[in-house]
Amino acid sequence: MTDTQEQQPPVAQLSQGQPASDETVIDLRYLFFVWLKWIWVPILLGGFGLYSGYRDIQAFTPQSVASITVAPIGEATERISTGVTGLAAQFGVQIDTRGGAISVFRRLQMMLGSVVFAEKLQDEIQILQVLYPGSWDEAAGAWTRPTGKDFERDQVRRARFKQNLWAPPNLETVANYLANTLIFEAVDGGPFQHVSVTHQDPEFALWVLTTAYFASDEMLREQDRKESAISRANIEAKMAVESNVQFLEALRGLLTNELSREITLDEGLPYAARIVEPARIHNRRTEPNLQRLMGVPAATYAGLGFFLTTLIALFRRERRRG
Amino acid sequence: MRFSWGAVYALFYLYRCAFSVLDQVVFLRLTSVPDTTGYQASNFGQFSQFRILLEGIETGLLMERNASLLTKIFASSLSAVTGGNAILINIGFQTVAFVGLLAFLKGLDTKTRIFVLLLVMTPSFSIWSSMASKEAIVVGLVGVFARYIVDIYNNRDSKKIYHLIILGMLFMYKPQFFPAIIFVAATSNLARYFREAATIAVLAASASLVVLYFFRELLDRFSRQIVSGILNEPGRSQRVLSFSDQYDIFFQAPGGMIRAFLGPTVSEAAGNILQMITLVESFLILGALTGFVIIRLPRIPAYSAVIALFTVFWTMFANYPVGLANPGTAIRYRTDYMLLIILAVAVLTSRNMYIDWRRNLLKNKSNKRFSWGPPPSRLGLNEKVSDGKSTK
Repeated sequence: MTDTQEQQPPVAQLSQGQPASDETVIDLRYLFFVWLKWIWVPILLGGFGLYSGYRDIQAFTPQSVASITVAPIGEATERISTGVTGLAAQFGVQIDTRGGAISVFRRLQMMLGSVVFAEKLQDEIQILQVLYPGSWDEAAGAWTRPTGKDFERDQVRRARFKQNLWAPPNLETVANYLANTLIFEAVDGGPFQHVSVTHQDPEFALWVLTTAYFASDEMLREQDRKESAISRANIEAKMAVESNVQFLEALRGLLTNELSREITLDEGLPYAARIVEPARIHNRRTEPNLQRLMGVPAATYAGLGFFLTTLIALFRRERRRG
Repeated sequence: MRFSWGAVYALFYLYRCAFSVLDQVVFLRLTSVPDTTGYQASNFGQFSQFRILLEGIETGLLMERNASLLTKIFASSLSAVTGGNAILINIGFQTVAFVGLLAFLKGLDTKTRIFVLLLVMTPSFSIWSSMASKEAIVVGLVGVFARYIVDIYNNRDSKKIYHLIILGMLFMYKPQFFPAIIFVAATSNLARYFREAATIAVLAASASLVVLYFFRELLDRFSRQIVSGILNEPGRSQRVLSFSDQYDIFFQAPGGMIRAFLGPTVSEAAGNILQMITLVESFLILGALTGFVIIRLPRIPAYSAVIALFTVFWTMFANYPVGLANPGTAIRYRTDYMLLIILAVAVLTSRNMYIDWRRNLLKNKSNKRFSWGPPPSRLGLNEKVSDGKSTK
């Protein structure tokens, strides 16, 4: 990164704005020659980035995908959170938030990540022991605390920085696991939803998908059935004491609605969404994204080399020139 | 016949007034712009109760509602003065934009001024900044800010209270401009104190990228929320796009920034004459800016190249997600940030301006006109300079 020896013009010349000052400017022509001379630095670092990406690809474990495609029933325009609306508004985009009621399918999505749902799964199928079999000591009937130097060192570090220490898996862990494992995506931005689970073991992925999805669907139906029964009982109680004919007529209408709702709830068909494509395991497993795994580190390292070359060249030149 | 610049500015004002009229009698009949009709219908009757006015004020960090409220108050004032005449209200708004443009133009040398004048006379820019809209106000604010930056390089820098007010208003209207604004203003000010201006610019640019890296998760999440919010709105977009994968905001940025700047794509423009005109205009603007840079390219000072490149990057990167969803929206929002792009490309890349800036800094330092800042040696004054004569 050595420069050609050039005479620094007297400062008096600079201050008088003579043409000599034009020659002292470090412009892109100078940088071009610097880049040409030191091109091997970004190339070398870029190569290292490629190698680093290649190692990541070697460490990549293909996963199986289980998915189900559904059409949410009675999908209403979802309410967009006020946070998003406010944020979008900062960018000049006005989002209409006058949506309809929250759909059953949206409730199902929320249900999947709830502790109450995790509790139901724990009661029915001992989900904690299924998800974390390695940590469960069958004989002792307790969770095994991890051991080892690395783990203990990490615990000490966490304690120093007031971070949460190790705790055995609990219902919240299950809720978080399910919320992050079942991925919901709109098919081509339309009304259909693609729900998928990715895991190394294809059978396990399918099991998690079907168990969680259909159990949450059933739990929602159960909740709504109970609500409907309470609502019907309230209406019937009011009808028993009401003497006004017009009110009675109105209450009969409400009762009819509740009864028809209960019939729908008892149908035994999927509640939140119609199944368009039943749950299945995909033939193709996940594969690494070469562009991201290799391209990004290569570009980052090459950019770093380019930046360092430019910075050092400019600094040295400017110090010399003044 | 020779025109003085005063006459040119007067004609320019009339030209923009003509667009205010055209907006009302042609453009607003062809397309629906709810914001504009809302502002034109504003009146102080809406603020009759002081309580309502207070309730409208937002004290949080993001103050979009304040921008709307401020625009409504301004529109109501114009409505009161003009008797609610929509065309006159448009002219009032375009006058705000004109003041900013005039401030910017007057700070430039003749050659650059002509080039910039031609760019700000383009139809889409004139249409959106000549009607009752936030765009008109934002153009005015960005114009004054651009003049502030030009003044730094012309060594006419004088920080005024109104600069702070302008920045505060810009934050209300367009917080996404701030990465570019902070970068260009901070670097320009900082570089004055160092002999190693280009090094400072490179360090500032890399520091801004480090900030981007630290906020990558937040940006990724926000961009996906915003785009899905826009796409969920019926009728807002005919485009299928998504930021579904992690960090798509970064991976889609190179192409996305160009698309957001151009507006409609060739296939979209093929079936619509208005979009075709817009696309041709976008290509002409892009071609003019690119050509301008290419001609200067080899002789652009390294400092200027870095500061111009990153000002363009930060402006376009922060604005492109909303521009991608809809070609019309892209052109509208481009009006807001167009002056920042022009400032970077046409002004900051000037070799002469850079040379004069550094030379005058040196001169001012030697004459001890500044009582603060680093010693003259930090600016390259290795020798004592007195009245243009150097002594070892």
